[in-house]
Amino acid sequence: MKTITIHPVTRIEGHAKITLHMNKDGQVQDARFHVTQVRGFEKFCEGRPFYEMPSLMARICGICPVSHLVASAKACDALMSVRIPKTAAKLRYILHLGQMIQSHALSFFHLSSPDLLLGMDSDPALRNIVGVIQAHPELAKEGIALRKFGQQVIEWLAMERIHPQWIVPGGVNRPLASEDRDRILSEIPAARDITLRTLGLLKSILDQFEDEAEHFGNFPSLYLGITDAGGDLDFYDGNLRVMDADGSIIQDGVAPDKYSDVIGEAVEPWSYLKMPYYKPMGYPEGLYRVGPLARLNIVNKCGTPLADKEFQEYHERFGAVVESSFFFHYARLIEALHSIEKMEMLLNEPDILSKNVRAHASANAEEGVGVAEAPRGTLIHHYKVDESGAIVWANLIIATGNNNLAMNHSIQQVSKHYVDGKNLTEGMLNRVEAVIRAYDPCLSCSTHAIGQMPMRIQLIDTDGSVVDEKYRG
Amino acid sequence: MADVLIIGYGNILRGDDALGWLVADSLRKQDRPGVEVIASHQLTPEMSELVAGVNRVIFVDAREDIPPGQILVERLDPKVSSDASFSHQCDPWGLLQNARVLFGGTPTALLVGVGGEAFELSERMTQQLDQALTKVLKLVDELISDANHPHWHQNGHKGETDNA
Repeated sequence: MKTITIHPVTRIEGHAKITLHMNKDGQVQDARFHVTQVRGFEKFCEGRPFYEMPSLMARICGICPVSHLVASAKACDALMSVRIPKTAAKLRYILHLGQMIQSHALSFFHLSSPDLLLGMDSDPALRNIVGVIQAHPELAKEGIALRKFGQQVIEWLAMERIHPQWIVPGGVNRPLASEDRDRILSEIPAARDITLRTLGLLKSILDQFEDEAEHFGNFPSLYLGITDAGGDLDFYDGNLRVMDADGSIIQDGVAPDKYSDVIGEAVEPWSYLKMPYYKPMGYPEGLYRVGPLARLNIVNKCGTPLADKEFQEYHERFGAVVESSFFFHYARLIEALHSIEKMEMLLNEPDILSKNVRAHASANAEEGVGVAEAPRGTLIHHYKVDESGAIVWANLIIATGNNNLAMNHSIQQVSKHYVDGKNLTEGMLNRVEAVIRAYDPCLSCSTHAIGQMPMRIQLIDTDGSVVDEKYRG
Repeated sequence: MADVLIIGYGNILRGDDALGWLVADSLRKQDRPGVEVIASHQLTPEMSELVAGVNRVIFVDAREDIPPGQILVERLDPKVSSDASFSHQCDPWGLLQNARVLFGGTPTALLVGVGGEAFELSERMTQQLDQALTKVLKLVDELISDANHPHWHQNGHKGETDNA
């Protein structure tokens, strides 16, 4: 069997390679997405006081530290056995929404728009943010502005844009000042308008990508996420819901601390990224997807007016259950719009300036679980402590990890459709990358270097001789 | 509008990489008129608008490609296109390029690089960079105060200084 190896695929937020295994007819028989980096957070936090965990866990990621802060703080709240003040929950949610906006803006404008606006087969030297800036400078500026808004919300609330520490066990460490509330509210209309314009642009070009939509991770699967008590979209709190490919809810209202009844984790020798799966169906049949595509499938509605209008149009156009991973891009923008609207609603709540924003306690339970919806999907932090409150065990199910099986399946699908084993082309390479990028994994930062992602592909015959070889970067 | 923007960046949990952040953190506490200071974990795309809005920019960063303790001041040419990795993380050349293309700003820019020795996980810098901090602060202070400092008018793009 011939093997085509794409390595390295990534840098910084994760390192990975892709192997395409060809049969004797030159067709892709199997494809694997190998994550080649170990972070080790679950291990090196052992022995730390539980109250340090949010600050430590925020360092897992430079793009979505707030999601880790939220999930970690909620796990600590459970360890403390406290119910945090309502205002504190709302403030945490506002910070989290700021992150959703900046992360989704980053994903769309900086990582994905080059493919969508310049074309999958365009010159790789220009198929990047520099090319977008040259071809669509106003759009590039709007992308920067939208991300800046999200980052500024985080900075105004938490005093740091990256690895903020405002969210703490028991709540937040200071109330919201009226001037900060007013500052954020004044910026919301511009952010909303940018998002609506971008949605309009994306909707207008989707028909150009019919082939990609057909073959980019377009397969029936389960979908998983948290919803609020009414089954609506909620990034901060809720219970787990699982939907099948036909749109039936097969499990609902699962409390976060029961996640292990629903989610199992497998490991494969060829990747450091775990393979979560829906436990009742076993591995690997229990493949499920999380993140924007999944969330907009499992919820009844977003719960904010403009986003719900877009939500309705999205499902009318692509079905009650949207299957193609290509439409992560579309779902992501709807979520960005919802985040802006939801932020405005929360900021206008009468108790948002309350000074009561923190509950205080020591560890009162041996175990705590916190779940949140990160930009990339469901995020779970599970801690166990000893009598002194020191961490003795931690399990993290990272959003991107939930999609690992699906990403592998998507690579198989896209490579089987596009890869000609006898004749490698750059456009094929880009589509393999692009399907991963649709999931917006933390790896995607490193799968989209400016110009060209360094890549070497070899087509090796059964006798070990190199039949074809292509370099890029 | 500020005259000078200082951006000191680096990971404060990675040993010597903290230097840029610590320099900026010290400077922003001074709250000098006409000087805006950013202490950041990394350079991000939205900084390009800030860069475009000032006359002079000073980036401060610890670097692996300079001998430990040595300070290297480079004038950054905004006309040079940079092969920047532009996702959530940028480099100074990328920021300058986008400041020019998107926002029409062409500040004079310097990169004050300090050779670091250890970039592994650590809450402390090495002794050498601890000692360099004062010297770097003095240098940046001179660069802020004197728009005619020779470094601002370097013809080639590198000007070495003394070891820290």
